[in-house]
Amino acid sequence: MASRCKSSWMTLASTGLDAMIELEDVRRVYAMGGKVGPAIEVVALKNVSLPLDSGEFVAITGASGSGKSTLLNILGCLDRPTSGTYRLDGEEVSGLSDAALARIRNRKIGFVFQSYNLLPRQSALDNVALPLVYSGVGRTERRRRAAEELERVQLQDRAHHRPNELSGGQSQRVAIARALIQKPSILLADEPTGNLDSNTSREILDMFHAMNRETGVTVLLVTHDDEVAGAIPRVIRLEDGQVIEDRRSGGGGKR
Amino acid sequence: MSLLESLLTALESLRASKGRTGLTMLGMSIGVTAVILLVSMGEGTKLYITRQFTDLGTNLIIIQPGRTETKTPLGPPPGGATRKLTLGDVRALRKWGTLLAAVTPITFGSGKISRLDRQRDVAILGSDDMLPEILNLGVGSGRFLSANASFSGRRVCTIGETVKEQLFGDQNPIGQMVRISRSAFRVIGVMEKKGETLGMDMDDLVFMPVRAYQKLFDQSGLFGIRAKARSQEDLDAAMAQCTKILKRRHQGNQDFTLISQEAMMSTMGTILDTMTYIMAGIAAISLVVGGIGIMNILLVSVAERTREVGLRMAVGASRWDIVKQFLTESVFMSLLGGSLGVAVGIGGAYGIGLLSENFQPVVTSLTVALAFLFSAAVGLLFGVYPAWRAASLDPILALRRE
Repeated sequence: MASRCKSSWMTLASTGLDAMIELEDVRRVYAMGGKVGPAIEVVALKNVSLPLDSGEFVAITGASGSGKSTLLNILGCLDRPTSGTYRLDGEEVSGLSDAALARIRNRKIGFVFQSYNLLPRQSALDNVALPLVYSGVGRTERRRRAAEELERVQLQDRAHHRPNELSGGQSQRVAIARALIQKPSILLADEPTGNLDSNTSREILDMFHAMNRETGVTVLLVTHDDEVAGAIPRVIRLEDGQVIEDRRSGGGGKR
Repeated sequence: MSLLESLLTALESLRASKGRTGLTMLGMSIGVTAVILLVSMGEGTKLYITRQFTDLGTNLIIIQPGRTETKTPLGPPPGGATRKLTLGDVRALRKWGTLLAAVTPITFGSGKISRLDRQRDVAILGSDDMLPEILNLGVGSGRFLSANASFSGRRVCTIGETVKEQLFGDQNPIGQMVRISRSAFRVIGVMEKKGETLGMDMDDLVFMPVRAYQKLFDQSGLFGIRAKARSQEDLDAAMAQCTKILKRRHQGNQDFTLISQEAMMSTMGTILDTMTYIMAGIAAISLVVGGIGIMNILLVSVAERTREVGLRMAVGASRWDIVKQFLTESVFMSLLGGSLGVAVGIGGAYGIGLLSENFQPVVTSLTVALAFLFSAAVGLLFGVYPAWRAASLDPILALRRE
């Protein structure tokens, strides 16, 4: 892996020699059934080892059932590996308590979902501010920072609209603003363009690229769309819970 | 997540489903209203009965013939006495009872009183001049039985207000003759209006000298003796003195029973308190039912908001944050419902008070505080399960839920 090429700004942004995310020998096994007949063990991830540098933009592709979601859940600290280690910013997180994981999700991880997952009764502004609620930031400060974040995704004029008054693309931009408000280390996006038409998809993808470039946030984007993956500098392909391809295009983070 | 933050979140989600939040709170309100109304009526009843007892005179000692071996503050059953109390006993108590302010004999029965073509069944009380002082009775016009008349058995009587109205209408009865059980009596006075005391209409009574009563009904003994202690502090000593005097007269036998009015009052108080607790308990059941309503609605809410819970967890809510969110909703609902119930309960008690002049429900701050606390506790208790359900959701599955 020594031949890995990085663009120069990434090196500057990284904290040191260590990779920011390091999965080592991660295995995730689910026990299925068991009530009727013997329990069946389903291996979702088989000994995945994966280093990721700070500021990288990575696409994760693979057929459904290949372990993409499981990998994303583990990376997002929503799930723990059955065995193996996961180091985030140099901290071993697989053995942490629920409360500690919640704190890590709050401070270091931003999620973007296919179906946006905005709270329907709250304004765009309050939706963006939601993560700050759980880190004890006061209401005024929350609103101020949320307004800034909305401006970054060019939705300042929609701040007081509710999700049902926003288009799909706008909703996803609100979700991106929400994911970025804590200035997380990683942005995890699960099929973020899956519900969008091709024009809007392109817009949203451009936004991910821009955020990656401007803030240096590491972006992991799960997609099954080869066209989407093609525009992303590093593509990891999963099959049956294993990494079968880890390809970098020469272009680095730039497009 | 701060408490204020939880409260605002709770408020917002409750506002989103106003209708069912309102109905759920209504259940709680009805429970609290019921508790407050029933307890205040219980307290009111107690006050009412206490007042009735005090109306009968304070520091009252009731002496009844017969002896109950087991201690009972309500006295022996009437009629089964082995040895009657007599006017001699009354005289002895008057002579030796230094701690007594007054002693009076009581004979009691019923008979017909008639004048011209009007006739009425009344209760007849044979006593003497001390009776008004002991039982707190006042004379309206004319006079009460004199000490002389009482022991000589002259056929005079003082009648209650109702008896006067029925027999004489607007006429002045003083000096007029009436027939009581076929004997002629002269009316010498009319009592002041007093109303009902302990279920007995004090205005529908005829008072006559105790000797006259005994002769009229051919009786030698008394129904009982009423005495009044000089003061509250002397009450116990006065009772001991009465016992000593009467025992000496009865050859050392204690074949009579002394009851102080206080003992009767405290017995009644205990009975009434028990009744109040029972009623409060029954009303509290409705609070529990209200709590189950809250739990039900919260469970529905948790099911509906599974994705929301998942999302909140993904952006950093700990399980404790989720528990707090739902618990706050539950406690808020029950407290708001409880407050409404307190208001309606107090208003209702006041309304009942307006309907009756004798009976007033009593709302104490303790009742209100307890009802309020209880509703908060119900909210907390029945919120725990739904909150725990929400907090134990798997965020991955919750986010995937459609």
